[in-house]
Amino acid sequence: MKRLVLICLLASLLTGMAACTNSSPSSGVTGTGKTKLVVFEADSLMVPFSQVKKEFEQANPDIQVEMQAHGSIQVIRQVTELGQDVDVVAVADYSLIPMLMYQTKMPDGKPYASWDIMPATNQLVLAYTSKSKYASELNAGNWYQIIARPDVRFGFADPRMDAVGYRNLMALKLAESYYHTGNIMDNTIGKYFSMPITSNDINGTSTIHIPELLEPTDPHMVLRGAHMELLALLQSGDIDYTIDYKSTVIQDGLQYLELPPEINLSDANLAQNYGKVVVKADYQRFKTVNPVFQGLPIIYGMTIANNSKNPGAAEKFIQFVLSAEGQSIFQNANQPELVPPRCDNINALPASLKPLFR
Amino acid sequence: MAVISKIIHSVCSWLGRHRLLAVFSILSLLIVLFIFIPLAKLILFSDKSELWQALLDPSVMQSILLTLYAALITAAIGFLLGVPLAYLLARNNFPLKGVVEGLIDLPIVVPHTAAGIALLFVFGRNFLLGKWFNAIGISFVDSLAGIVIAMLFVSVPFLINSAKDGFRKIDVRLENVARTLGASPWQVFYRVTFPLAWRSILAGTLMMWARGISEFGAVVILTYYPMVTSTLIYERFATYGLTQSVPVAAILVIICAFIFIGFRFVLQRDRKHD
Repeated sequence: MKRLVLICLLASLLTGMAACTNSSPSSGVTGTGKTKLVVFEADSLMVPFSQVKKEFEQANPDIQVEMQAHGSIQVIRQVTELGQDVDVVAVADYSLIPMLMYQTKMPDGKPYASWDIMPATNQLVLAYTSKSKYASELNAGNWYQIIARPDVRFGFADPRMDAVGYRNLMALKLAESYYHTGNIMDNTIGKYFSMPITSNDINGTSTIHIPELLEPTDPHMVLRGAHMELLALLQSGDIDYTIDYKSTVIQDGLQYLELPPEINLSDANLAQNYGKVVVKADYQRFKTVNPVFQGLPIIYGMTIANNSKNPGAAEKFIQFVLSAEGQSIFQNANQPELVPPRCDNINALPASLKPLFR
Repeated sequence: MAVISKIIHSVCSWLGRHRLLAVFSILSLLIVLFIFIPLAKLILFSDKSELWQALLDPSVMQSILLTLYAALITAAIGFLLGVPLAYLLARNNFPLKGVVEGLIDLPIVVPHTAAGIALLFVFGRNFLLGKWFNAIGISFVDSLAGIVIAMLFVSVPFLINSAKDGFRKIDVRLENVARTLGASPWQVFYRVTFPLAWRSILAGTLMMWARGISEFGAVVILTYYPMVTSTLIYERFATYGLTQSVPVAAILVIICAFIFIGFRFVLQRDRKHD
């Protein structure tokens, strides 16, 4: 027995050393000699992207995709602040890439990214279960009153980390003008923090202020760092309602109520209407950028980091996402593609991707 | 010159005589540095003013005290429920004992986010235990109770295993002698077995407490607020970045260093008295 354990340990040590010396991470090659492609994606993309990985690797046996999912803001900060080697960045809000990657410079003075491809969209829905409080009386006309009731538990993703969080604030603020009812945002979210989330209206634009500290003061408010955790709490019955992306809500098999297009941030034609809401953080954040989240239709953004070790493989990956196969994966995951996909800076695109936007 | 060669000569001859000691010392030095350097960097990363600022920040101190306190409650529960189990496992044979022993090790292996979700599906409001506890007003979401069950789940194996080893090391004949001298089973346990296994139990309890303090993955699923220090470090990192999160981590490391090195001294002094 003793000998067996020792032999196992020694063998793993030796093979481990061999594996470590074979692969040189700096050149982006895995231990098996395949090209390693590192993709960091928004956690709402996990389901379609895991299928994309599978089919992409089948089509490109020489490439091995390594994926990591975080909240969208975290995805970018892994690159710009922690200096992780990432090839493809995909986030749930396309405006984050210009805001956090164009403006942040790499050690050599170049920005972390210089273009932004928009492949997919999404929409906000109100997620609940049959056991949620007042679920039996919930309908399209009273949902905003029900979620504001003090004895209802509302799940809210931290808007400082998660795009779903600040989009919740936008949607509820938009609901106020749509239903001609004041204080929906305050009564559902804002007033339940020791430092309240407030808003002020100037010339028809509502600015929502996120305070420095977000500490819930009442069981009505259940705050989490990422919206995916809230969906688990919904299934366990520890929250009654949360506003989340339709695709992830369907993927988790939860019930949902559709919200009007004027509120659900899904319709590109209503961009001007969504733009009447702005979310601001009332404190200095990050090293260089202090983000302001403009109300926009939900459109995902995707780019290749300028310090990518394998831009060639990364370009192939993006081509695959935008291909017919890629788009059908998104449809199967109940996530609508953006037709046609857009790009903010075609001139800066790598040559292999330019034809997709002509 | 002669002096240097003499020193080299004596070092070489010392190494020649103590080869095992020399090799083990070099290997030990490597692992000690591996543990020490990252922790030292964590503490030295922030300048004094940032550390001071974090130290004066009431939410940092509150969260550190909450963490130490919650882990202490956890260790107490683990002690109460884990020591009897360890005793049974060490002293008795029963069917499926191997299964039970393997099961106890599982929380160490299970990824902690999965552990958090598993606990949620037992102590959540829609599920059996959650329903019962809710009826008496205890909720495991965003509460101290949630922190404690998450810590308990991931840390109790350390106590059980350590106490079990302690009980096993005791010569059963000592217990038998006590029995023949007229002690009841309770008396034997209290007067003989427990004192002899005490050091292993204490070491296990300490390990359990320490493991509880460090837990993040399982706690954060159940309880975001009130914030334990690991959650606070994560939140600070996520919202403000490294400069705000590292001082909090550094303070936790410094406090824990004092506590654990202190305990070692006490244990060592105890040993000398024996």
